[in-house]
Parts: sequence; C-alpha cells; structure tokens
Amino acid sequence: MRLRLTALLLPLCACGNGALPPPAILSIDPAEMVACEGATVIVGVDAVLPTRFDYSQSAASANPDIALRIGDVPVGSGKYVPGGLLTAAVPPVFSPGNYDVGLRLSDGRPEAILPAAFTVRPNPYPDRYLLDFVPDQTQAQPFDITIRAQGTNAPVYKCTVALSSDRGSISPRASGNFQQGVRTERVTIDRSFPAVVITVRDDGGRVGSSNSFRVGP
Amino acid sequence: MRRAWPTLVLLCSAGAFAEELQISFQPPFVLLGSGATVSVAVRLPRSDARLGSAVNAGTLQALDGPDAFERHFLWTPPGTRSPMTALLVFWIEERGSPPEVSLARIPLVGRTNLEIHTEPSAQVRVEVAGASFGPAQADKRGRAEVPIDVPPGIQTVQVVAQAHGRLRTRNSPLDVPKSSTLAIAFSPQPLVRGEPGWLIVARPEAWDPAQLEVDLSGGRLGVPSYAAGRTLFPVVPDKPATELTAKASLRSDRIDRAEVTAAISPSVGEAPSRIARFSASASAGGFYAGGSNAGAALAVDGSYSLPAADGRFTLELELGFRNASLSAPVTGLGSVHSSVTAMSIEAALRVLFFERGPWAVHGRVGGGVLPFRVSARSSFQPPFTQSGLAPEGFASAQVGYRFRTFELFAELRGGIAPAKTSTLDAQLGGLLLALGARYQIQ
Repeated sequence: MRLRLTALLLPLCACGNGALPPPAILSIDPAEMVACEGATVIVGVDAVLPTRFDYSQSAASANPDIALRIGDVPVGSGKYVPGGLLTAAVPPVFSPGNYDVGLRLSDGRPEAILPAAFTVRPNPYPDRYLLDFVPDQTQAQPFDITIRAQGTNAPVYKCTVALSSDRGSISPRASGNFQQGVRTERVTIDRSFPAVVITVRDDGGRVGSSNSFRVGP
Repeated sequence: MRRAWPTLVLLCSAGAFAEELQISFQPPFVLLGSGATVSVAVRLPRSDARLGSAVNAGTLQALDGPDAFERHFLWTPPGTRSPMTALLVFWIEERGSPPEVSLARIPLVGRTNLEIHTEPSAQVRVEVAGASFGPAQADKRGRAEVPIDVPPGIQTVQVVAQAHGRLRTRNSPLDVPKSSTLAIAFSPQPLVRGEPGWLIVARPEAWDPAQLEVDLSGGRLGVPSYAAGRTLFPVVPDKPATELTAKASLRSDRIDRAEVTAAISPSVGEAPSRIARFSASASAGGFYAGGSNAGAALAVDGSYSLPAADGRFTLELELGFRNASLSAPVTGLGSVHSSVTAMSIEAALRVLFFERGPWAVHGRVGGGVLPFRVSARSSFQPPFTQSGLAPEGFASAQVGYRFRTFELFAELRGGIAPAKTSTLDAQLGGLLLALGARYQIQ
C-alpha cells in the first residue's frame, strides 16, 4: 500500500512535462534508389498526433496532417496512417547522393529528421545505343523505333534517352523508361525529307543513331 | 416535538438588569422525598446569547433545547426533607458587560408527621398555610400524629382539637431545620484575566444589602449594585492569583452562607486559548462537472482552530486525490482512452456557522493547486503522458455530527479547477460530495 502511494505521488510531483513528445522517424525502406528510377518507400514513424481530449463534451480528436520530405522534396500523402507506417512515392528528381528524411506534425513541434537516411545512386549507363532498322516513313504519321542499350549495364538500364532528328522535328523529345535495356517508342516526323537520321542521347552523353530513311509527303 | 410549558412563567426584570429572561418550569413546586424533578426552560433574547446558571440547592443539568432561542434544564432537588425555596439563577454573559441576572423560585414542600398532645380521644386537625390536614383521634393519653405538608417559610401551624363538645385552637411552633438560601456565582465562567468579572449573590427573598457580608480571596470587590433578591459585585483578580474564592453570608442569619471558587484563565494573547485545537480528518466521495469530468475524490486534512472568536474559525491544509477518465472514437483513426489523475494541495478557512448539541454546520472557502497527470493510449498511435498544474478555488458547506472526539460529516463543495494542457481540457472542480470523519487531536 505504501509503495502504491509512493508510486502514485512521485509521478504527480514530477511536474513540468506539459508538451507532447517530438516525433521520431524509425526507418525507411528501401533506403536507396537509382536516380532515374524513383521508388516507393515505407517510412516508419513514432509520432503522437496533435490530440485533444474535451472532457466536458466527452469527445476526442486528433489531427492526422503530417509533412514528410526527402531532401527538399515533399513525399507521401500528407496524412498519418494508423500504426505509423507511411507509404510515399519518391519521384526520379534527385541527383545521386544521401538525403535527410524529415517529418513535421501540424502543431509546430520540432521536425523529426533522420540524417542521410536515403541514398540516391547514380544511373547505370550503358556503353552505347543501337536503333533497329527504320524503314521509309510518311510525314506526320507515327511509327515505332526500337532502341537497344549496348554494353556492361545494358540489361539493367531503366532510364530514358533524349530523341532528336537531323531533319524536321521529332516528337516526343524523350523516350519512356527502358525495360531490360530495350525501349520501343512511337515517334512522328513532322515534314517530308528525302533522308532523315534519328539520334538518341542519355544524360551521360552516350549516343546512338538510326539508319538514314526517307520521310515522304 | 416541542413541550408545552403551561405552568409557571416568570418574566424577570429588575431596574439595572435591562434584558429579561423568560423562565418557565414544571411542576410549579416539589414535594421533597417524592423523587420528582423539575423541567426548566429559559427563553433567550437572542440566539447567540451565552447563558450562565447557578442554584442555591439541588443540581441543574443542561439538556438540548428545541431551538437556538431556548435552553432546557433538568433541576434535581437536594436530599434534604426540610422545606425551603430553591433559587435558580440565570444570566446572560456579555463580554465586558455586567451579567443580566434573572431568578426563578421553586417551593420545596416538606412532609412530616406532627406529634400533638391534647385531651384524650380528641379529634385533631392541623391548619398549615390555609390547608387543613387530619382529622386524627388522640389516644387515651391525649397523643395524636397528623401528617402535614409544610411549604417553605412556615414557622407555626394551628392545631384544632375537639373533645367533649369543646373546640380548642392553639398555635404550635414547627421545628424546621434551616439551610442556606444563598446562591453565589462568578461571571463570566471562567473568569478571564484582564477582562471585567462579576460576583453574583442571590437569595429567594429580598434582604437588606447591609446584612450581606462577602469575603473575596484572590481579588478585590468593587462597588455592588442591588436589585430585588440579588447583588452584583465587580471583581478584579489580583495579578498572581490563579483562582478566586468568594464567601457570602448574612449577618442576621449565619446559616445563610455560600462559597464559590472560580479559575482565572489567561487573557487572550497571554497563552493559547483553551479552545485552540488541532484535528485531522479524512473524506471520500466523488465530483461531477459535466460530461466526463467526473470521478473519485479523496482527501486528508489537518486543521487548527484559531483561538479567537470561540474557535469558530479553523485553518485547514488539505491533501487530496482526484481521478477522471474518457474513452472516445477519433474519426478516421480509431479510438482513444485517457485518464486524469490529480493530487490536490489546498488551504482553507472553515467557519462554524451553527451548532446545536452534537450537530454543527460549517462553511469552508479555500483554494490551492492540483498537480495532475494525463495519460492516453489509443489504437493508432503510441501512448503518452502529460503533466500540468491546475488552480482551484472552492466554497463548501459541511454538516457534522459529533460524538466524543470524533465528528462524522458530509460536505457539498462547489469549485473551479480547470486542468488544461495542449491535449487536455478538463474540469476537476464542479460539485463534489464527500463523507468523512474528523478526529480532534487536542
């Protein structure tokens, strides 16, 4: 009984802790991505939401708004998820490097930061690109070109390349992501020319060109 | 239920004694040896009057009165069988003012067998104060016994004997043992050093003031004032004296003598008053302030009655415990449960408003702080706790019932004690009802 009383009184007398605990980031998984690929990560947080107990109304509320960031880029839905495992899509906008992960609640408590917790790895560029044979085409009519990465990293290359033509204008100007080193892209040349060559170029300056083909009116 | 007092009502007044006391008693006289007692009621001019009393014979026992304006007593006659007049003396004690003295006289009637010597075989009867006793027939030697009731103050009776057609009347003296008729008392009771005091001397019949002889040891007598049946002497205790003893007698009748002794209590400030005392109490109950602002309330209390104002004011220090809890859903997230636990540390002033017999009504006002702790757990986020400090102010009423050194009481309290943090908005005051027990330590 005496111990119980002491146990009761001691915490009561430990006054002064009127603030809620600051949030904490426990984990991020996966903790890295390839720069050009983007990723979907799960961030584990230990956070007490801004909670309100109104005893007069016998009611309780909690504000689920949160701000999750990687580097300076906001990620996630902006809402807390019961259990504290937040899912966030990371866009492929990062340069290679290590980035802080931050979490801020809506009531102004200090931001939780997990320093250098997320790594962006460089893109695994191939040595060069080859384009399959392109037959003669008609102006403004879409046609497919197939681009093949060549070299050591070719099978794992998933990035994009820029598209250009030496005559007329080609659209789109960039390809979609490669799949296992191959990308088939539907393109259009706007005007007719007797000989046109399409060139692809990645961020690292590696290039590849098609054969010369005719674009008829 | 209130008793009727149909018998003898005395409105006592006398010149210098301005305020009247209405005294009534039942029965109007007592036959000594009958075992009868007398119920006495004294009507007060105001409810807070302090009533003093003294008697010249018998004992006076205070009883509970029906209200604050009336005091009841039971007077038991003395063991003597001699007729006399019992004198009941009542007065109002007003601090610093002469007591207002009122008297009630109860005739005590003695019963005896009167032995008469007359002619043989005479028919005898006895006239006593207008009442006739007998007849009885004398024996062959002329002796007869007639039982008679003798009221106080009767010294002779008339014996009427009839024999051989002749009627003979003669006065016969009674041998009534005399006892003192003086009543004597000090006022106030007890005497307080440095404050005015008086000696009251009273007698059933009026007397010549010059006949009164008073000897006071431990102090000095002032100039007396006289009224019918009583005399009032101012008294001033000597500095080293701790008690006063007064002896009063009548020069004309040395049997009429009385003595009284009274203690002298220290003056206020000279020493702690006899009414200063400590007490401790414990109480348990609950509070409600709307919604989920409800829960248990426990308290322990130490108190000190201030010497001033007859101990009506008491300072109290209270340590208590209160608890409330709340469970509620949170939209889109789950549910939460929180509880608030507080310890109250409060000071209060308790005032005695009303007291009759074992019952007492107190009022309390006070305030303090409640260090509290709110803890929460939920289905969607980690548990957490917060601490805070809530101020409280309250007023309450207590009804108590005393027996010996214990007092059981019920308290109804109204208070304000907002407990707030960044997450909490609670009220630990509201209405609080508790039952408790108080123990008088000193």
